[in-house]
Amino acid sequence: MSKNNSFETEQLTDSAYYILLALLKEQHGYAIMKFVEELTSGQIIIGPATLYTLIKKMCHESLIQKIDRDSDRKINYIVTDKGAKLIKKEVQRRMTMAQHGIRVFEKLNGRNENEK
Amino acid sequence: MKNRKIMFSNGFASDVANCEMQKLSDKAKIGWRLKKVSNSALFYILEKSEPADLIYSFDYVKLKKEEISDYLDLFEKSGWSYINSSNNFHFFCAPIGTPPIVSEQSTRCYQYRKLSKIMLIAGIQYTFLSIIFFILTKAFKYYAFNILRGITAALFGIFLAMMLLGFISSIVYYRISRKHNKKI
Repeated sequence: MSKNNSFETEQLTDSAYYILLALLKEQHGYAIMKFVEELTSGQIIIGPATLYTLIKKMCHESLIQKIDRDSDRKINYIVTDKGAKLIKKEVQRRMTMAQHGIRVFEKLNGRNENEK
Repeated sequence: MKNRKIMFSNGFASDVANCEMQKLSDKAKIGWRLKKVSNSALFYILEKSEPADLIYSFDYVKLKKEEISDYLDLFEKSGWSYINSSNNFHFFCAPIGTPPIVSEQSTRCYQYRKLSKIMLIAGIQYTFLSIIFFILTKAFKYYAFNILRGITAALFGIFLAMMLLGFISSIVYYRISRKHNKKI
């Protein structure tokens, strides 16, 4: 059961990826949604249920932590060291994967031009 | 004229859940708006109102007291109005076109897996209760009054049914969670 649950054995889902990116800076729930929407120019909108489920799950896996401030009632979150490490690795991994894709397309396009 | 009515719920297992939410949408269109979901989510209470194009959705999450206001605020700001909660299910409605509350299938997968686990634990608890009351029923055969034996036998029956219900729903929820987990 825990195999599928864990963020370590499985790559981050897209939503989890964006939430972790948002939480490199301390933010509250709605600010995370806005951050992701602006970052992706509205291409990715995280639903509130998805956001809340993932926040709970990531707190549980200690990728992020709660920050309780007495001044305002809102609960803020921020990445932990573990979370920061994971997101850095994940950005790198996704970049490498995208480069692989580009390499394949470049090869294909090159061949097409040669055939012409 | 009555301005309230009751509609029975068929539960929230995946495909059924989508039908349920659609059913509520259809009712809102003809002027019956969801007012409240009953305890244990057995039925809905609808109220007569202006016809409206609304979509309904639910979330499943166990909330701590201090999390509730933050949680509801998040939904409110995303355009989803809160209706009420029943057994950790929370119900919301929004105008058509509002982005869905679940934006990723893995969320439902996680929720159903949690439900499956809870039902499994409930099933195991009722198994123990059934065994205890089964033994009691057998024991009272020799020394106690008939009434007492009747009561224990009845409780045994109830717990046995609850046990089966628990295990069956656990399996159903588990299979749904597997279905949501499918990736290309």
